[in-house]
Amino acid sequence: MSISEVNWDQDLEADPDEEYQSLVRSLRWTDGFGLFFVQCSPTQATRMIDQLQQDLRHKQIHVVTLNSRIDNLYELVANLPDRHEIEILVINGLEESFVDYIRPGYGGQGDYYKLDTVPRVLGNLNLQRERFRDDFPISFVFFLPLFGLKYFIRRAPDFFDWRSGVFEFPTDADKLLEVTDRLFSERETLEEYLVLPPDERHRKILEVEELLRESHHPFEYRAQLLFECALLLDTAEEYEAAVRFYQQLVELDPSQPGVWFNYGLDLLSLSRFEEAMACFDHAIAIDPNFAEAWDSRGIAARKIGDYGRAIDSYTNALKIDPSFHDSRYNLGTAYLEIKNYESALALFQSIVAEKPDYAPAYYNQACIHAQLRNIEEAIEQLAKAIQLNPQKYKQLAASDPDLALIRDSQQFISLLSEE
Amino acid sequence: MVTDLRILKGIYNAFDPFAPLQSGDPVYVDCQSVRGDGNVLVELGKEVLFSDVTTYQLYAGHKGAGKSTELQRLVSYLRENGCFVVYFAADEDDIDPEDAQYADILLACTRRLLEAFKDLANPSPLLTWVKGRWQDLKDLALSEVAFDKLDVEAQIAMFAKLTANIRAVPSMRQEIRRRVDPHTVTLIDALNEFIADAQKHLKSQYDRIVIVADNLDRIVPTPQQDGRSNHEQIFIDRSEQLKALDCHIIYTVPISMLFSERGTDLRSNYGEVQILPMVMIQTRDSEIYEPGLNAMRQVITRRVEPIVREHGYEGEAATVFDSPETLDKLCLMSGGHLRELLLLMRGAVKRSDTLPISAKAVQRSITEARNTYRRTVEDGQWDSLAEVALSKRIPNEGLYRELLFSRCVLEYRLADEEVTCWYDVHPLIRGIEEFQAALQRRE
Repeated sequence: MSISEVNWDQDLEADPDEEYQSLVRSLRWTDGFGLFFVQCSPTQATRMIDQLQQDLRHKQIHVVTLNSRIDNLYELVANLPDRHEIEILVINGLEESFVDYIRPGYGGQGDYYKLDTVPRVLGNLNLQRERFRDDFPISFVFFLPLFGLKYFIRRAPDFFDWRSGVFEFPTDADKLLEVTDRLFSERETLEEYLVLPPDERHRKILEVEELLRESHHPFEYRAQLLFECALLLDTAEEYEAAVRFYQQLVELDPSQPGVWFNYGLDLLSLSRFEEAMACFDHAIAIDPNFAEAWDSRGIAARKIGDYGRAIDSYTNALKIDPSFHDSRYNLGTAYLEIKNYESALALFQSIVAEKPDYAPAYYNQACIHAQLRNIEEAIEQLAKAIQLNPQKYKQLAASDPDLALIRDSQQFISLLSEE
Repeated sequence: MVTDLRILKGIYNAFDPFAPLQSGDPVYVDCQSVRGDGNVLVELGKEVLFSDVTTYQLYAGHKGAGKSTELQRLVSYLRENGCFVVYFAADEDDIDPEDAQYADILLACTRRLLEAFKDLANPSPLLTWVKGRWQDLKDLALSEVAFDKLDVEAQIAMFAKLTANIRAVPSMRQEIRRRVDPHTVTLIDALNEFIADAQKHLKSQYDRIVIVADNLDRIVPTPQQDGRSNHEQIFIDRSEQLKALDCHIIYTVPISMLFSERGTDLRSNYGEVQILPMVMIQTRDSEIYEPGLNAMRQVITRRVEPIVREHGYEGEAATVFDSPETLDKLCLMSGGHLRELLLLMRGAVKRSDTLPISAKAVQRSITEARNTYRRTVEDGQWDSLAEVALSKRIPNEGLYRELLFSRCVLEYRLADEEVTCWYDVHPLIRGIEEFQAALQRRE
């Protein structure tokens, strides 16, 4: 290709080997001060740092791994033992010092990095660059994940401006797919995320969000990233944010019933019942045997007061899975609410016959009996509920209008005052 | 091969992005004529030399456009013309990185003046000021000693420590400001007495004192509670204090300041702000502007030349590239921004292991630089960038200020019969998909 045919507006990405070679070359060529930025995942960082130590054996390399927040990198460097011997100083994990400052943008709201604060460590660096240059004849190599690099660029622009280069090693796409593949197939993986400590979850959201911002991902990969991000936000109970990701996700790939289902659940949590209903309809249209989706559709319908559809939905859920006690309970509650006490009672009784520790079924029976002025039976059922969960049901019983008719009775008063 | 690597290493190191050129460096290329004919020596320097009253001027420009290099030249020029110049590049000892305020700047000037004049002038007015506040302040200096007991040297050191602690102990920051703020007027008075005394002693040798406060554009803009930026609060709301010292002062300010909603206030307080624009490599109509491009080529070749000579390389410096077009593209992609040019050049060199530097290496370097811009622009800014690209103007809005600050939008000037000024997006941004999409939406 002759040079005049080069399209200079076109990107020409280096492959990871070439990129690594130019990192090694620049470090070899640099005697004294220099700032190098390497963008890669934490796992890649560990591997690459080992490799660098081997490939640059004639240089004195020192590695600082940061696991928690620092405010002043200059001081940290100044106090390193043997500082005068160090030629290359690798700094891994500086993002720990500012990850808390980054509010995720939650689906392209545009306020991602717009902050009213500058993390101290970056504010300091921005003003310290001359002192770094004048006091440390050292090549600094910062290993940062993509979100960290991006934040660095924006919050310490002057320090970053003195860089000798940015070396990019995009996150290994296959690695991430492995995780999200599992997420797609097993709904249980959400549990795994539930146990993530909040700061780790925060970091993960930032990482995934950043990957999403890269526009070149193939379709499936993008869908999985969106799903992962939405699930993470679900576990953080950030439903409004999660909904934005589900929205993008169903636009991209409307064929996943599990996605529609989760989307619907978030809308339920946000009391957007009509929209939730539409999501469950989608899920069921794709997978008519999706019992949980039928059940949740029932909840949404009940919330809008459409009892016909609610009862219909629960009934379908139970047809698919007769042992779905929650759905049977929901159906009973729907009957209770439309004062079909007979059907309701039958359902609650059938639940406790199979599952004697299902406390709410006792409680609801108590409510029905109270409405029917069967005081003895009401008290009996309430006592069973209270036995299973004293705190919850005593509190509920104290003010529930459904129990108003028995509240003055001696048995009720003594039941609630029992220790 | 081996020589190639040596030459490449030499070139690589000749393009340090972090070494402002000292006045008189032979690799300096005078770009005045392709930067709208602005000349810092004339515009800022003459103002200081010719004015009968003390002057307070602002100097603005994009990061890395060559401001510090130009200021170094100004400092030498002023010194040659009988000024006593206190130049300082503010650092984190001067300015609170999280929450910079005007008092920081005032105290920084104080500290530098004290250091500069400690053998020349009588520091007693300043020390009296500290003494008067000592009961109030000594815990802030983290000292229990009585101020009177210290010798002058130690008193000065204590003063420096006091100002430094404003930054060093973040938890105490608010408290320190609360106690110092009501006394800034008396501090300025004390400082002026000190300056007057220095002036007297300098009389025989120098006829004016000039402070050049560089790096103030390093204060990262942060929106304040009232919705304005900290830059506005410092340079506009507190302009009276910043203009209260009895000596000439030149402050560097972020270029985005000039586009503040109160830009007119800024001009009425400090006079016309001097701006260092980009080297004009393209005209307003996106035609290549040969004189500007040529200046950029020279920036490269002047730095390359000594290296190739040293290693006995045959041929012109420009032939370290595989073709003239490769060199030109490298220059054009810099947008006429000097540090960007250095970065692009470094990026290309480090991706080469033989000479000449290939189009491919330059293309890779361009990609690296473009990725940085991709990451700088926020989601909602692409449409604004498209707007600038089409109109070559910037409306006076906050959003565009940020784009100037982050160098996504560049300012150009052409001195013809009169100076015209326009804006364009950074050439590296043109190749980004999101920008292209935004452009299509506009057209």
